[in-house]
Amino acid sequence: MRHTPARLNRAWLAVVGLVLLVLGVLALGLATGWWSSLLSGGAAEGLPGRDAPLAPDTSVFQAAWVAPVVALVGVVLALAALGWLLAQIPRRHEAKDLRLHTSSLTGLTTCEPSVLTDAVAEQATSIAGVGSADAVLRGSARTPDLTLRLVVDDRAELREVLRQADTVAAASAVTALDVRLARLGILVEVQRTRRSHDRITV
Amino acid sequence: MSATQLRRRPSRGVPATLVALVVLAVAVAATTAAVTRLASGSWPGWAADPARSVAQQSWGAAPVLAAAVVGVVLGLVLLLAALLPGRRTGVPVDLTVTSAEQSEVVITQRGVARLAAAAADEVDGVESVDVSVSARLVRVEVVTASRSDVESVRSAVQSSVEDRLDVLGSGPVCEVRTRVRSRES
Repeated sequence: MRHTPARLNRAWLAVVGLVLLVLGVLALGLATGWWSSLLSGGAAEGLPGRDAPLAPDTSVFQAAWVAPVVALVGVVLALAALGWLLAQIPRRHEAKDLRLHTSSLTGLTTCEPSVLTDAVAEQATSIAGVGSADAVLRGSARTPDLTLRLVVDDRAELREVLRQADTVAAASAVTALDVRLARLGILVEVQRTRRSHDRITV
Repeated sequence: MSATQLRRRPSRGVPATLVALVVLAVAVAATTAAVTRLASGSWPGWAADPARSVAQQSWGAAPVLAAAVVGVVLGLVLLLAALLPGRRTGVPVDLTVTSAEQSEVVITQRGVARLAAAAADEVDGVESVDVSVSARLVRVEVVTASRSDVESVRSAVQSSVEDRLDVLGSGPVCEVRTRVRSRES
């Protein structure tokens, strides 16, 4: 039902993974001396040996420009990471207010999608075997994209539940908008039926 | 707006959150150290001392080698997480709807498992049920009390589960395999 940032995650994971891989391979080559044996002549001579310290000259950290640069890069990275974290919050991406008027000259008629989805969810909940329901409307009034989430009992007649979700719940949205849905998505979750134990003496 | 897909591939939310938290922690630490340096004129001890000890390590030192190996492995894992598509979630139901041009109907895998478990549990003679679901297969493992009834219980459970998962009236949405164990065996 809700959108998660799959593309963003995969793109940044690829970038971070590639950076780590390249740095790791470079460091591994220097730590084992592979680069010196692979490269020839002058190129190999320029590389630090296995006994050389990682940073021979630490005085660079005392230079005046280092702290501002570190602070700037740190702030940029922190903001980027914070944005990435906030993007993890799943979002409904519901439609904006539906414009139901044909011409603004005769007045504006708008409708919040929640008015419609609340009614659709209520109708879906009234279907036998459905414990709870939730609806999200995306797209526009002319190309509505309705997604229904139904939580049904594990003993429900699923065939009948789906038929009524289409012909009753989704159909009510069709009637309200006076247009056939561009897309209908139904996500079915199943909950265990609560069992009560009663005793009968025959 | 792109069409919402109910059968999604993994969004890699867990590794993304972990990497973002690590990057945020490192960035905040670096910024704090740099601001301290700007304010007081010297790097704070909690940043300078570890940095100095790292800088003094030789390239061939074991910690450097270990860090390089960890970097390579972690980089590969993150790259694979980014590039491998992963399995789609949920079991699709090929239902033709009347109210929409296009439709997508999906039952969660946990939902299919619960439907199957409930159907199997309704069969007489069943003591316990264990169900596992993949994209196309439902495995039902049932324990029954008696050894003599094993085959009849198996066929009853198979029929009950197939009937419950026959959402469209044209057969179950997944292949069903039932295995029955006798408690006595």
